[in-house]
Amino acid sequence: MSVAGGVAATKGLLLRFREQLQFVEKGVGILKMKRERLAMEVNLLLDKVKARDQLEKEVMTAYGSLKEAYCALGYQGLRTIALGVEQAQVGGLSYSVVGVTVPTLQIEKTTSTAGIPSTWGYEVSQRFASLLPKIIQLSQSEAAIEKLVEELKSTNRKVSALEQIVIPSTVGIIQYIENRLYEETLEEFIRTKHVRETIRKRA
Amino acid sequence: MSSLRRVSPRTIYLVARVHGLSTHLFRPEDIGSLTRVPDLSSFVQALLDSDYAPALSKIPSEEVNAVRLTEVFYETLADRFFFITSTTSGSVRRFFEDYARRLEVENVKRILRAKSGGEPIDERALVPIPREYATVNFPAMVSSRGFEDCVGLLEATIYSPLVDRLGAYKQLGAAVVFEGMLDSIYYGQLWEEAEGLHDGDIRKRIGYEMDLQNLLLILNLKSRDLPQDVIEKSLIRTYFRLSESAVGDLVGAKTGSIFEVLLRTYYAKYFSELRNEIQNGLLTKVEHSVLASLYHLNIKTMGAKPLGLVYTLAYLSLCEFEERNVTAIATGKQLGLTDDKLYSLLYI
Repeated sequence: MSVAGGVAATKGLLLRFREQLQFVEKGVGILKMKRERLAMEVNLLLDKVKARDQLEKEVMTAYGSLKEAYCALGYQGLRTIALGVEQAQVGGLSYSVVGVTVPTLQIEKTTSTAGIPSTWGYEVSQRFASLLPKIIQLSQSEAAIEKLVEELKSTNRKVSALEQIVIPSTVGIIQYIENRLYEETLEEFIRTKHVRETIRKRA
Repeated sequence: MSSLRRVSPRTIYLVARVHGLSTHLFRPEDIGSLTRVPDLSSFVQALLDSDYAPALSKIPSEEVNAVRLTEVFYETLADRFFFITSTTSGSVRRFFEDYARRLEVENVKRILRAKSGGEPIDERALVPIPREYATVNFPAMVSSRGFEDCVGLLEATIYSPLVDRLGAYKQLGAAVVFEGMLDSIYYGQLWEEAEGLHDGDIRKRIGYEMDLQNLLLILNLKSRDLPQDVIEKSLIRTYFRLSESAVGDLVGAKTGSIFEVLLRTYYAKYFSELRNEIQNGLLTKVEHSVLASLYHLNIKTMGAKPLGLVYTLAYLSLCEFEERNVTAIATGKQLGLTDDKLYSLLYI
């Protein structure tokens, strides 16, 4: 048995490294599949995030109406109208995409705007109430993208590390052990041959 | 001179005072100039030559903002209202006391809104009303525990019918309906006092306002798809130039045909230019246009009836419009609204 590069060149170790290589290659395959799935999910969500520009415009319009309502009713006038509006309730849940926990939001209780006094108050509340589901949808998609992209980056790093470092080094070690074992077998063969010749000469 | 002989000396004195007071109001061109000031501090500077100066001078410069200014505007409005009340007597005083009660109604609405949402409210959110003119115990309402307790405090006031309608409010849960009931009580009382004055011009001015309020409320509630009976319960019960059948037609009209029904009423001229706004549900524009017409009606009335009691009524209404205008300018300047946008929100 010889020890080189911190690795003992034994048949047992060779078998173990070969098994490890097989396992790592299978792992790389699975990680690549995960990467594809994550990329697919992100692509699907990206389509939803494209609505952001439009939503931002709608939000700006709604804030424009809010400013106008402030002007028309004054701060206390509008504030007291807002005080009477029952607040919407949003609950948080989560679901899993290839092992990644993605947050999701759900409107549990919508705001009832029909009873709001004042035309201005009603118009503003209508605008914001109609924006709420869109804002929730967008923030949910953005949060999911953030989580999935983080996982995608981590998976990419793992795949690269396995492909660029772990597999080549394992292959190197296996080759090294194989070479060492071959050399040892050859040495053993020559030694045996030499011993046989010596015995034969004595005889 | 003949018209002067028919007017009582007290009324002549009052109208003479109001002629003087009306010169303190901002004219449309003044409001236009105020809209063009670059910022809030320039606006405050411009107001220092007006009736608002005494109250404004009490605010430390670092505390000047649209919210504080709005409080000053309300304070000045209340002073203007109650000054008129204090210079009158008898049935005229009762009428102007009832007219000024709209400030009290606004306060009751504000408190009830907060209470219905379960939110706290403080007296700074209210229009300051001198104790001697308030029929409602505002501090008690503000500190009441909940909506029902708060409404219960109105039992011994002229707003007591609200207590009976609490059940209806709970069933509908719509503040707009409750506020409609409050307006109905207010205008009912005011109408009675106006009738007692035997002054056709006063009746006409109050009647127009009531009818237009009703028409705006119908348009507003129709756009929310509220049931017909709910809309009917929310209306001011007294009609002037509107007939029961016209109101019934409007309440029952489909959204698409409501404009045509409006054109068949006495007030067609107020809505005739607003077809697109009504059909597209742009009700803030409709409301603004109708209120702007009332503003111009006040100016016209002051020109046409300089010696009548209605001159004082038009003056008080213009005080309200001025309060709205200066509030809009102060808020608009603080929020950075463009001059054009701000101008479109004013009543001039």
